[in-house]
Amino acid sequence: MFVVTKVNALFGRRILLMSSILSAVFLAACTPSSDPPESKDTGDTVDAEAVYSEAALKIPNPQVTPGGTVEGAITITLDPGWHTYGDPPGDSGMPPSVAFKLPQGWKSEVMPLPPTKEFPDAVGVSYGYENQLKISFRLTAPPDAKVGTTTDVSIDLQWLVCKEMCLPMSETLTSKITISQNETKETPNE
Amino acid sequence: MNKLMLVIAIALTTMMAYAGAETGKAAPGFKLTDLDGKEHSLADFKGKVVVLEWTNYGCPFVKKHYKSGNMQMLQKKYTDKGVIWLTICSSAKGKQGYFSLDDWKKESAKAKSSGTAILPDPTGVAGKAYGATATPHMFVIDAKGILVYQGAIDSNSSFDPKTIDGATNYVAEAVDAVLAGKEVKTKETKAYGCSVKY
Repeated sequence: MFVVTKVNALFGRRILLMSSILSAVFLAACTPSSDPPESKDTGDTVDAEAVYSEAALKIPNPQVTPGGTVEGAITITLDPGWHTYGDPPGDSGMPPSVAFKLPQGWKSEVMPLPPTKEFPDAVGVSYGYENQLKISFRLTAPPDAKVGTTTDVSIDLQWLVCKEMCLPMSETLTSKITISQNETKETPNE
Repeated sequence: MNKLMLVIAIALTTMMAYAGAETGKAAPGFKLTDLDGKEHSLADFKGKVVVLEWTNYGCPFVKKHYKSGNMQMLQKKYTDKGVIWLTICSSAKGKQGYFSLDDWKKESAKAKSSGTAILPDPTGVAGKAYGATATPHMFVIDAKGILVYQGAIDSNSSFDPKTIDGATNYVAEAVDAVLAGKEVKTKETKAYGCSVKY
């Protein structure tokens, strides 16, 4: 059993407990590749099977001392013409949802999103990002983390991309962090 | 100068969009034709509780409620209780979510849509009268023709179907209250979803 800290930017933080199996099933259910034909039927020029946006996880210095913090970022890249949403998203859309799956005792914090651009349409204005969105976060290891071990970091990311029509995106991003004895020398401002 | 004009234009558009229907007042009338060519006017349903559901089958937030079966469950549950449930699509011809009548028949059968009628609104006249901005955008009208709820279908604005459980369904709350002769608790919320493709 993992502790899933769901950081839903729109509705604040909430903590959900669920088995990893359950979330895997749900994730499978909402992966965009599972429902391309319906999107295609809408008479739009967008090819729902193509990928217009990708997400990557980077933890530049994946080491942490017990009780220490480590920083990382999720980068969402978007094809020209597509945009994703900020928080709040405005008159339509949804901000990215970032749910960390971490072992007991770990804490996660998502930094405020960068300033948004306005996307006006027939019904109002949305706020969001073109080209790229970087979501920075900080993880705190429990004080009793065992030196020499590695921890799996898993993030369930959901984001909405739109260009006339909208496509739901969902991906699980993973990385590893090593628990080290010493403060990491590579981080100058620690 | 151009920028100022744009800001004014945006402000006006936003105001117009929200100028739509006023909660607590008579719901705007409309006349739309269903997939079988039958005309429906809001006035025909006086004496019945009416739910208006703005839809767009290509929208991930609409899919959230249809693929999970949540929307059809609500449609069936309330039409069984005598509620009129009208599913309206204001996508203009050529815009995303627009279907020909034949395609509407196919797609709505596939979606197992279970409301009273599906009403394409390609001119957007009904959508604009109500100020429908999103899909799904929901309206509840009581038996006297008064608009008693407008806004989101529920309290969780994610496109993820797993968020349906645990969310408060404002439409169900409003319809239950009206059917029980009680006051609707939450009368207005901000609709979430894709923008209506007028």
